Amino acid sequence: MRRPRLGPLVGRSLARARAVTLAVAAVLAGFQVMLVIIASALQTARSFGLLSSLMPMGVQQAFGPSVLMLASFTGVAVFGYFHPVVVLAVAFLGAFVATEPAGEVEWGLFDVELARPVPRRAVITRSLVVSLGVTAAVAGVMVAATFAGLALLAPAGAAWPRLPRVLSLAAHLVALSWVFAAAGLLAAAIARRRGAAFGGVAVIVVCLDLLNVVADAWEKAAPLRPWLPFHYFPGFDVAAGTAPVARDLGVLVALTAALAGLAHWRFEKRDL
Amino acid sequence: MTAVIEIDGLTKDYGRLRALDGLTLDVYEGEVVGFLGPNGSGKTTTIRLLLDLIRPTRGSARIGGFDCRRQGLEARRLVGYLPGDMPIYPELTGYGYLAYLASLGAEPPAPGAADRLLVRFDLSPADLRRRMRDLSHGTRRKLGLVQALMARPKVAILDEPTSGLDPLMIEAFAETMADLKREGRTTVFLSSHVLSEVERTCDRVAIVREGRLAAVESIPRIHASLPRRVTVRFASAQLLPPPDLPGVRTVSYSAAAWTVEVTGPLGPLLGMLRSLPVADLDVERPSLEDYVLGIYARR
Repeated sequence: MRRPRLGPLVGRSLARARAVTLAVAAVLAGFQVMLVIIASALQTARSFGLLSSLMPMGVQQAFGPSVLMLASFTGVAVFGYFHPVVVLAVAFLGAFVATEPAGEVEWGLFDVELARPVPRRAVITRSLVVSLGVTAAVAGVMVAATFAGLALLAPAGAAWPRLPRVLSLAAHLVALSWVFAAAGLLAAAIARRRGAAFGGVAVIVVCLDLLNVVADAWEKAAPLRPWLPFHYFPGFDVAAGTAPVARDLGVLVALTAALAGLAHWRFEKRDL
Repeated sequence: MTAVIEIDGLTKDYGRLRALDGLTLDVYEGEVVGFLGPNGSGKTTTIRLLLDLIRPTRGSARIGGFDCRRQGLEARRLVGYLPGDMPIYPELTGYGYLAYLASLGAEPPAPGAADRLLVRFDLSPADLRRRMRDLSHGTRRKLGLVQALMARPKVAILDEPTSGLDPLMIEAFAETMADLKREGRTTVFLSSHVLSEVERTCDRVAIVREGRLAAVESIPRIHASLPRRVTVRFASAQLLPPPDLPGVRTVSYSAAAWTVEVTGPLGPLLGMLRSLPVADLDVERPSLEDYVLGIYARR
């Protein structure tokens, strides 16, 4: 008698997630290359000094002195790791892939999969592994695209971003997206429709992002900051090397683990 | 006889709706049991409880001695299941579908079993190379039957197995059930609305109504318990009504013909008819339908 295996479940799930993952990876890789092109153009035109002087004081106050990173070749080249649209795209990807179990309830696929000797925890673990894996893979593709773009397009003498700094940015991006992947998993452990699970999480992601912007810019909302996952990815500070990386990643990974644990517990109890 | 499926006081509530109400039923090794009931009577709920897809409000069920809830994995190792609403993986081919589900099973498909089923259900290599989204409802259903039976499970749970199949494939299904019965190693629990098919393939039927078990009976006993309808036509006008005989009830009569219902042996009626100018005699066998519809209609 065979032991239940995770491999076939992961393989099937990866096959389902392949198209959307490849599409997001291609767009974000292209975006990284485009930023290198922009940075190269600004460097060639010697415009970074001008950019720095044009930076409004309000922006510097809201985002801290690290925002001046944007007025450098390195800053522009790595901006793609914490650009709000990129962060949301990777978070949405993680959440979407993680909501697969709700889709399987909706389409009745668990009626054949879980009628076999497959433990319920296996399908939640599978979706967790796949959602964490695809977001990490997309970030990996982004890093590769950044350095490929630099190698091919950066002008001579430009100060390339250092690999550990880029990896730290990518790690923050991945860890933040994992939180929303785990939130998607929890939603999928409760919902009967994938659209409802993903839609709910997507709205929460956008609201939390907006709240984070408000909390950063408005002193009275500052006490909210520690409760917002986006607070633990201070992009400019990470790019400048001034962020508490271990604390941020620790909080994000712990939050992911807690949400994933809740998803396992909830899914174990539900009717399918 | 050993009970392979034991259902004990199984109750399932959905909010304020009671879908199943204290169902108790045993299914014995090697038998084929038809699980019947009107729409919404609790058949699929029972089946999904057996597979631990939903959780009971009260009561328990066991398959092969394993509690379906607490030892669900062990119980499901013994089961091959065909769902009523056949889910598909649109992107998978027929081969891919069978290979994927085989990879999740407790046992690899029995050598040759899948091939025999594919031949029996007329699934050609061309069918199996097509993606599931391009297959007809009937072909998907046939694939569903193959995946449920390919590992030669100890227990086959089949929800509406012939829904969407053409008459030839219904025949193939009946042959498959006959083979399983002959081999005696697979216990079959099937739900169906096609009573002629149940009558042909099952040893016993269990009927649920409004979430409760309304009857459990073997097919031969059902036949024996139901009256046969006998129509007697006379060669010349017969002015007398049918006589009062034990087990005989008059339905209608005229000078040309009598119609009566006979419960038990026909001998006394035939003995009485010997002295009359009988031109023709028509005996209609009772059907499972008469029995089941009587129970469905009961208040």
